[in-house]
Amino acid sequence: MSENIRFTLAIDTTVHQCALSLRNSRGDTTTCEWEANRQLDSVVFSKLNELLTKGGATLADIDTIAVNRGPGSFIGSRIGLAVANTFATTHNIPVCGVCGLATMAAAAYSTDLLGADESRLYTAVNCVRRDIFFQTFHLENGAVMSAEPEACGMLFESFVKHVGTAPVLIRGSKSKLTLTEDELSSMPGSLKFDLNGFIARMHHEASAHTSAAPLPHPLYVKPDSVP
Amino acid sequence: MNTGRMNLGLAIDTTFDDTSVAVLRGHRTLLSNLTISQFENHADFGGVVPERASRKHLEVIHPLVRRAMDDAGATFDELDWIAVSNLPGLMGAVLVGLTVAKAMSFALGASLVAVNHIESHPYACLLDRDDFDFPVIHLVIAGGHTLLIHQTEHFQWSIVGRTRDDAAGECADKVARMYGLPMPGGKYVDALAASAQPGAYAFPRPMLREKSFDFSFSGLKTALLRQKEKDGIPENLGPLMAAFLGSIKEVLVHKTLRAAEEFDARMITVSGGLAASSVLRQAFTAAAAKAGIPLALPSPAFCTDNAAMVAVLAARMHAAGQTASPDVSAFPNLLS
Repeated sequence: MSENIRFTLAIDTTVHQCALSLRNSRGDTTTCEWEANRQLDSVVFSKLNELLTKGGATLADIDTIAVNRGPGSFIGSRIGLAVANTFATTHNIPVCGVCGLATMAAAAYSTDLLGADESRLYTAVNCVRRDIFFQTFHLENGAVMSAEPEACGMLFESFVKHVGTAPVLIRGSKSKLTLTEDELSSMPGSLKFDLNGFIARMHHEASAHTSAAPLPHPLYVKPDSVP
Repeated sequence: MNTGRMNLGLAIDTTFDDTSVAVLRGHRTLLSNLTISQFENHADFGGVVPERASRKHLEVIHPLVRRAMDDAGATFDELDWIAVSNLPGLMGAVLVGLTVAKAMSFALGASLVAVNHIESHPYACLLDRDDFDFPVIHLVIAGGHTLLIHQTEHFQWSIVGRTRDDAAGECADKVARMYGLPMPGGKYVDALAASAQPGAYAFPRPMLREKSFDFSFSGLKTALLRQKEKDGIPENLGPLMAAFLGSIKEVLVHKTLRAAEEFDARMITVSGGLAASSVLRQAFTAAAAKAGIPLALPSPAFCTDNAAMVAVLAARMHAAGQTASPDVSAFPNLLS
């Protein structure tokens, strides 16, 4: 492509609502979203082709890849990471693996989604049945911190009791295999997930990434890992 | 991509618990073949745990691809084709290899070749010889499969016999576990069997005299269980394992030679993990010589799952224009 225009690529296949996004050095972003099915390992490449064409880029124009490591669907997470790590291997493109829950929190804190007096935030993902993968975050001297060393897993009913009225940013999907949007939004502190903000944060992480890191691996959570 | 020289390809196999990558030039010049076995990762469970296998495949496959290319002295842009076993296997495990292969094909503009893992087992024989002498009867004794395959030419084959329950290798692994032997059980069963004579015990030869080319080994496994219940585990397992493997050997040899006669085969091959058994190799070598039919056995290193055999079949498929579209799927079963 074009002279000196470089790109970051964001890959998120951890939930049914998958996304690929390309951002160029001018700040223009092209995003492709779709609902995953059992052909995710095939569809991801046709979507990637579509995205690169639309964004006017080739793989050789990409400087860094940000990939969501999860938590989420185990198979979906592996497919995203298999793609990112293969491009890293064949084209020496640095890969920045991001934690989906931390990225959701960082995106939320960078907006006015939370009230001025609120710092504590739950971020959560529902990707299969009634299981919720979640983590708690707070701001400390401007930095997004978590009380738990890693994400936890719980059934939705237990999670609702656990969270109470605290703010919770929960990401779901329209899949028949998961909770409905009505169920997710029924939580008292439920906040609306913004995919564009999430993707923008992934590109931000990619831009700040240094090339020396080893290839990332998925974040797996046990469904019953109560904090 | 190269021009004016023999094609270069990379093959991946992640169908079960081994992660394997091979690089092949032309039809049989193996430049590298690396396999990481996971059996220690599953030893505590007494068998392969599919989710653990999938996780491990993803952890190791990219370093393995890089090292296979380094060992081959090749660069990624030289690759003409990328091959992968897309069936049969553990779905999560197959998907890791398949996605990596598709991503390599996408990134490098190389052809994608989708290979049936079981069909590729006999092709390990072609690392040492130019071609098969068709028609061939292949006995594939690999993991959960015991199959007699009649092949008339490349890519033209049909299954003429298969196990109705446990596969021979599966039976050997289960008997090994029953008698307290470590994983991978077949290897220990063979070593013990090779150390003794088979006459001390009389175990059944399942379906030996039936017209069908099918097999059944679950009854033999039960016979070993009954033997253990009756006499416990003997201090010297050699005679017991010799008798057990002797039963398997007799059935496999008899049915393979009978199928070769029935289908006018010009050669037979024996491949798959259990084909590494020294007891079986000796038996097939002697029986084939007596019957006057040529026998091909892969070297023991290429009997267990490996990407080299996938590469050898893939090279022929690529040369014949049998490439796959990027939307090729993974399948758990032998036939898609």
